[in-house]
Amino acid sequence: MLFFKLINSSFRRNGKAYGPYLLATSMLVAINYIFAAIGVNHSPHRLASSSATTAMINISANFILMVTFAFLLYVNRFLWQQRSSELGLYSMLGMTSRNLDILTVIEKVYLFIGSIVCGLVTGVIFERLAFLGLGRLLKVHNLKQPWIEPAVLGKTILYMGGFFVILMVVDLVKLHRLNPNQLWHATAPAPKRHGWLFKLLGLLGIVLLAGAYYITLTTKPQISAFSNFMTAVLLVVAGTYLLFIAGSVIILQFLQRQKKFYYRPRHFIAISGMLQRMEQNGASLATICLLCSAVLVALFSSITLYAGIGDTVKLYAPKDVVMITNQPVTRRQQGVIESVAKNHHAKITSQTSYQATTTQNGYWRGQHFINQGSLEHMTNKTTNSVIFVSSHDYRKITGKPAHLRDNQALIYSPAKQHTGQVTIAGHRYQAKNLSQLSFAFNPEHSIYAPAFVIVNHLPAGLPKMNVTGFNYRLKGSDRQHIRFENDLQAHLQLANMQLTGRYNIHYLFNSLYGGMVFAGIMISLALGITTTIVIYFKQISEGYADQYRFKTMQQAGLSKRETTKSIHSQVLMVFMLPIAGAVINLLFAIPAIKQIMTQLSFYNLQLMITVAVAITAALMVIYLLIYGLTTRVYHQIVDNIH
Amino acid sequence: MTLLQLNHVQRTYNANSTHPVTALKDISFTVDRGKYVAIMGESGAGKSTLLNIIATLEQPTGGQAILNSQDLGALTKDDAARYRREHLGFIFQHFNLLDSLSNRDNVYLPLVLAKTDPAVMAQRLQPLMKRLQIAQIIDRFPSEISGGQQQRVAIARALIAQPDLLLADEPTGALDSNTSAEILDLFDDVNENGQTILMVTHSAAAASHAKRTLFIKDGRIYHELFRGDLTMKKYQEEISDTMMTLTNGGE
Ligand SMILES: Nc1ncnc2c1ncn2[C@@H]1O[C@H](COP(=O)(O)OP(=O)(O)OP(=O)(O)O)[C@@H](O)[C@H]1O
Ligand SMILES: [Mg+2]
Repeated sequence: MLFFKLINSSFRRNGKAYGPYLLATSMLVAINYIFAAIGVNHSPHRLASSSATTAMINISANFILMVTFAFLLYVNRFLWQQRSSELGLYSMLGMTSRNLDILTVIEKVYLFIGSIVCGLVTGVIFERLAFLGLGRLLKVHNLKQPWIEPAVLGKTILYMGGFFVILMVVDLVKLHRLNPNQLWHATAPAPKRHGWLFKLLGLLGIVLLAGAYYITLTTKPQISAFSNFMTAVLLVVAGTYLLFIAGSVIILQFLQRQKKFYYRPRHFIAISGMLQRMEQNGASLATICLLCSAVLVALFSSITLYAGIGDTVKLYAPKDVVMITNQPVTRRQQGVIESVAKNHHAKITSQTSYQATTTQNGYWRGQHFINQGSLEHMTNKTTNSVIFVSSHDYRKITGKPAHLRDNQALIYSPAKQHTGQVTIAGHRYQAKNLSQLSFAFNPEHSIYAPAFVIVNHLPAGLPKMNVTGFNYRLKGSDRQHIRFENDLQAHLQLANMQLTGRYNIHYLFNSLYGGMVFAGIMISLALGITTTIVIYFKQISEGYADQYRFKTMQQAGLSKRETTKSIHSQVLMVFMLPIAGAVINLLFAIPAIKQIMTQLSFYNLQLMITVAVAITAALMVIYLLIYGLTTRVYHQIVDNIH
Repeated sequence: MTLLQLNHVQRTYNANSTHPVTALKDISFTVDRGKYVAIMGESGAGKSTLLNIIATLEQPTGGQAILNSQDLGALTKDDAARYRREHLGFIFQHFNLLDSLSNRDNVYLPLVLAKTDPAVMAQRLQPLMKRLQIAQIIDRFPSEISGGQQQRVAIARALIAQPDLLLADEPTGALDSNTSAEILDLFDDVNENGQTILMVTHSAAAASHAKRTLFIKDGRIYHELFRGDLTMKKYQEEISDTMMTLTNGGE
C-alpha cells in the first residue's frame, strides 16, 4: 500500500530525527511504568514511613508524567518542521488533504506502537533493578515484586495513547490551517520589534531574580523557611523565563546600538547571531536552565540528607536509647529495663543520667535570648532553643571540670556561636564557646537547633527534665534491635517523645530520605533524557539554519576557519547559558537549603559543599558529553554544503 | 588595462574517484578594467565553476587565474578570504542575505570585516542607497522585503567595498521580467560609473546588456560575441541564435 511505503521511506530518510525520538519516548515510557509499578507495590507499605514514601513516589510519578507530556508536545514541533515540507510536496503533487490526514495518523500510530513496545519491554526489565535499588536505599531486604503489574501496564498504555492522540490532533489542525505552499516553504519568521512592555518584562525578570536570591540569602531557620524557599522558587522560575526571553534580547540590542563596539568583525557576527538565537530559543533555553536547576537542587537536598543520616541520628539519640522523664529513673523502671534486656539477650552498657532544664524555645535579639518557653508557645519568630545543664552534671558525664564562676557560662551552639555578655532567661552570663559536647542532642526532635548552656546552678523557675541514656549490645538483625527498643518503650509505658531508640530513628530516616533519593534520581533521569533530546533536536535544526549562513558569510569574505569559529562559539554559548544559570541558581539556593536542613538537625557544612561540588561537576561532565555528541551531528549537517 | 587573465584554467571534481568530472577543460580569456562581460552556456557547462574559481571560493586544478596581477591559485584559504572581501563583490541568484542581520548590516558586512570606521560606512552607504532606491527598506530585515528589493540590497553589499570586479551568477534568475529589467538597468548604470562586471546568465536579454558575451560548452570557450555598434535588440537576437546553434551541437 502506497501510504505505508511513503511513511516507511520517510522514516528511513529522517532517521536522524526519528531514531533519537523513539529512543527518548521509549525511555520515558519505561520510567513512567517503573514509577507507577513501584507506586502500587505493597512491600513499602510496611515501612514506618510508608505513607510519606508512597506519597513522594506518587507525586514524582505524576511529575514525570507531566514532563513526558511537555516533552512530547515540544519535540513534536521539531518533527513537524521535518515533515511539513514533505507533506507540502505531496500536496503539490496532488494528494488530497484526506490523504495527508491518513499519512499523519499512520505516522503517529507507528510512533506510538514503537515507543510503547520498546518502552514497556525496557520498563518491565529494569523495574526489578530499580526496585532492588530502592530496597537498598531504604535498607529493606524482603521486598516482594511480581514480574509484571498488568493494571499499571494498561494505565501506561492508556496515558501514552492519550498523549499521542493529542499530538495527532495538533498536527491535523496545523495541516488544515496551512496551504501547500506554506507547507513547502516553512520560512523563518522575521525578527520582531519590541515595545516598552518587552523592556519592562526584561527588567522585571532581573528584579524577580534579585528578589529570589535576596530571600534565599536571608532565610532564617524558622518555620517559614520552607514556604520562603518555595516563594523563591516561583520567583526564580518567572525571573529565569523573563531574563532569557526578554533580558537577553534587551542587552544584545543595547550592545547593537553602541556602533563603535558593534561594528567590529567579532562583535558584529556574535551579537547579531546571538540575538537571533535568543529570539528563537529564549524560552527553551530557560526551560533547560530550570530543568537543570531542579535536577541540581533535588539531587543536592536528597543526597545530603541521605548522607547525613548518621549525624542526624546522633543528634536525636546521642546514645542507643535515650529516655526523658520528670523524675530520675526509679528502681522499678531500672528493673523493667534489665528484664526486657534479658528477654532480648541484650547487654546494657555505659548508662548515664543527668538533669537539665526542658528545652526553652525562643529567638536571639542581639545578645539577648528571648525565651518563649515550651514548643506550644512558639511563633513565626522562633528560631532557637536552649537547654541548661549544670556544671556538676557536665563533669559527671564528660569527666572534665567546667571551671566556671557563677556569672559564667559555656555555650555549645552548633548553628551559630554566642560568646561574651549574653542574657538568657533573665540571667546575665559571661559566655565562652564550647566547640564540642558529646551528649548534645535534640530532645524534642523539633526544627529549632538547641544550644546547650553549662552553668553552675540551673536557673530557678524553669521546668526540669531527667535525661537517661545507655548503649546496648545485641546479636541479631536490625529488626531484632528495633523490636527490643519497641518492647522497652512498651514495658516502660513511655510516650514516643520520651524514649528514643537509635535503630528506630535510623530506620525511619532511611526509609524517608532513601525514598527521596530514589525519587530524586529517577526524576533526574527523566529530566536528563528529555534535556538531551531537546539539545539534540536544537542542534539539528540550528545545523540546517547555519548551513546557509556558513555559505553566505564565506562569500562575503570570511574565511572558513573564522566562520566555523564564530558559529561554534555562538552554539557553545547558547548551550552553556542554561547550565551556567543552573549552577548560579544552585549556589543561591544552598543558603536557604542549609537553613531548612538545620531544622532537620543537619549541620554538616563540609558534607554539603562536597555534595554540591560533586553533583555540579557530574552534571557539567554529562552536559558537555551530550553537547559533544550532538555537535558531531551538527557538524555533519553543516559541513554538508558543497 | 588587463584586470583579469585566465590561462588554460582547468577544474576536475573527484579526480581520484572512479568517476572524475571535468567541469572546465581549458579556459583562457582576459577582461580589461571597466568592461562588462556576460558568460552563457547550457546547464552544467561549467559557468558557476568558472565564477567560483575567479571568486577564490574554489581552486583551479590546472592553469592560472590572475586578478590584478595576483595569482588566485597561490592564495592560502585565509588569504583568499581577505582577498575576496577587499577586491571582489558578489551577487547571486538567491540573493544570499543573512536573515539575522538587518538590510543595513547586510550591506555593511564586508566593510565591518575590513574593520572600517562606522562613520565611513554610513558615508559610503548614502550614495548607494539613493542609486539603488533602498533608503526606505534599509532598516528592515531581508525576510520583510520583496525579491527584487533583496537583490538591490545584495548589489549594495557587493558594491560598498568598491571592488575591482563585480561577479554575478544569474542575478535575475529568481526575478520576474519587470524586476529583472530594473536590475539590469542598474548594472548598466554601475558599469558606466567604471565598475568591471562579470555576469553568468541563461537569458539572452540579460546578456544583451553586456558589451561582450562568452559562450562555454563542454568546459571550453565555444564562441565569443561583441556588441559593437549593434542595437540591443539586434545584439540580443544574435546571442539567441548563437545559443541555438550551441544547443543543437552545430558549428
Ligand atoms: N562539487 C562538485 N562535485 C562534483 N561535480 C561538480 C561539483 N560542482 C559542479 N560539478 C559538476 O561540474 C559541472 C559544471 O557545473 P556548474 O555548476 O559549473 O554548471 P553551470 O554551468 O553553472 O550549470 P547551471 O546553468 O545549471 O547552473 C557539472 O557537470 C556538475 O555536475
Ligand atoms: Mg550555475
